[in-house]
Amino acid sequence: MKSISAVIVWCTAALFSAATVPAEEITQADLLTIVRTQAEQIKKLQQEVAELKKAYGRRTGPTRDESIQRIVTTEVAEQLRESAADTLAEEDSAHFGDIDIHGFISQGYMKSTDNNYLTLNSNDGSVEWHEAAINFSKQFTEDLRGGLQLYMRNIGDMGNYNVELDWAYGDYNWRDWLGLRIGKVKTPLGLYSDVQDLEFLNTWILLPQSVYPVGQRSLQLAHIGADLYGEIPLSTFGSLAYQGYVGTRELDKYGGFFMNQSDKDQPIDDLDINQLAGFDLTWETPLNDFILGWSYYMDDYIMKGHYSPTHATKPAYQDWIKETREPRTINQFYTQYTLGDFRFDAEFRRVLKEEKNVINSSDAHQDQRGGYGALTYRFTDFWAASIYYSRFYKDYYSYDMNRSSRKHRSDPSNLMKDWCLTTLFDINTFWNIKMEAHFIDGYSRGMFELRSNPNGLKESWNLFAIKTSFNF
Amino acid sequence: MKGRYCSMCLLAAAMLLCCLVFGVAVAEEAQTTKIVIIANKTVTTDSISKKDLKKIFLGSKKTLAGGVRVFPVVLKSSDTHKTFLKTFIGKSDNAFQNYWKKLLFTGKSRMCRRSLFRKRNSLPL
Repeated sequence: MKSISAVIVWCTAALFSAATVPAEEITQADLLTIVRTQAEQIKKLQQEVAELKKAYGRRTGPTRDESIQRIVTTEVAEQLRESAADTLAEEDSAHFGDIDIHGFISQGYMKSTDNNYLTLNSNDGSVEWHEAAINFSKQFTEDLRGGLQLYMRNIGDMGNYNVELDWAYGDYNWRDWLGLRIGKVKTPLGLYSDVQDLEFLNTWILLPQSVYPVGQRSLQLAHIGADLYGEIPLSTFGSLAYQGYVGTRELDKYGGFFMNQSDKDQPIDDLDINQLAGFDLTWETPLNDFILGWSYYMDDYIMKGHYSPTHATKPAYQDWIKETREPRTINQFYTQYTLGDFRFDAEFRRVLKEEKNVINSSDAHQDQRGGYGALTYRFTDFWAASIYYSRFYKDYYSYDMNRSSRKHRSDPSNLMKDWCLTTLFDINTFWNIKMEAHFIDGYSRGMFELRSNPNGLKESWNLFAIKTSFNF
Repeated sequence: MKGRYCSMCLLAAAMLLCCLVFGVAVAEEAQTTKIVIIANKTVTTDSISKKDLKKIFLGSKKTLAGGVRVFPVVLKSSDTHKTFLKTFIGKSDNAFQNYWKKLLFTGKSRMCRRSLFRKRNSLPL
């Protein structure tokens, strides 16, 4: 037993010096050095083993235990060499010099009954659903890293394969409790806002649309500015992760918001977000894998545009200007609890908006509310399934944007209820396939009725989707 | 309307059935693997709480006492690796990788490295 313990100590020491020591700085050069060093050690040890075997045969020299110890050590060294070579091969596939390169590409299919969805011709079945991204990042020092991600999508009429800068920032992580990010940073809003495009990382194909609308993804996706972040230990009360930010934002001109305005013959010429700020707090409770969180976001904006010649009531090309009377605010509360292979998610989002039409001095008020509850179970590494229920009110108090008329809160144009069943197959680490069924009541979001559903919408409708993604 | 809810219930029932079948089929293996955590020789800490270990392997704790920076390296996929993740991190291998990919694809961290050993038998434990 003593000799085995000695081998373990030796092996640990070898690992200290060769493998995991500069864990943050394992480079191709380091790995080559490891392989060469191990090769030399192996050669030396093999010679020793040959001598020891000879000596053991003569019953002189080292004891039997010592001989075995050294033989085992040789085997360990051999395995180290092989593994280091494997690692070298693995690292090569994801590195270009010192720069990490990763990406993904995905393809979806959507079929719906009655209504077309997300500008896709989904009633007939549509495969016009592509997404791709590639990112480059580099660790400059132990504290400093930087990178950028390019993203493009085409979902029906949205995206049009326009390549956009998804994020690009420098990150200085001074301490665990304080770090600084500057550049274009993903906005933390709830559990999935920053990964809403990375469908291959989520169980679902469509995140609950009450909280994460595909058509309006750029409204809260990323900001350009500065972030402070960190995690503060709270002793027996768990820990508190925070992220606070200020800055501005650019909206996706190929996204649903701009498209909707054009469809209403009020295209946007310019949209400036004057100021933007927010924070995200995540409390990791003492109960294992149970988190509670609150995200807050506010911004001020001014939109300028004109009326199209086809507008029903307004003179052609007359300008319109809208701005926030009070800062637009978003409050989002969330929780996640993981117990073994079960995971429970729940979120609630409230968006309050008070807009002023500068030209005719009219006001518009909107109180959007949405939330969902989801239960996911992972059966095996290969297979998971999930169910969620999502509910969305376009305006909880059911006024139209001009406060001139009031609709019933449950009017299908104001409400959307969605039962979703999903199953996910992870073929391997890099490739997955998902299937999803939605049973929907209402059409208050993502319908683009003037463009995609000119013949009207049906209150109860179903949707089926398949999506596959490859990432590296 | 009725047919719609029927199809929804049928789909849910099919999923539940699959859940039961696979749940029985995929019985957990006895986990008797002995786990050893190794670190850089510059790390003077000789003990660590399970909570801190989890934070290190999830990338939220990057500094140990004395200001030593650490970054996790894990085994390649193996029973030992899966047992380690389940026991100390509370995640399956898939969930663990997805967690790191989320950090990677939002620019918050590089990927957790997988090295140096592929098999449990690679270490004479």
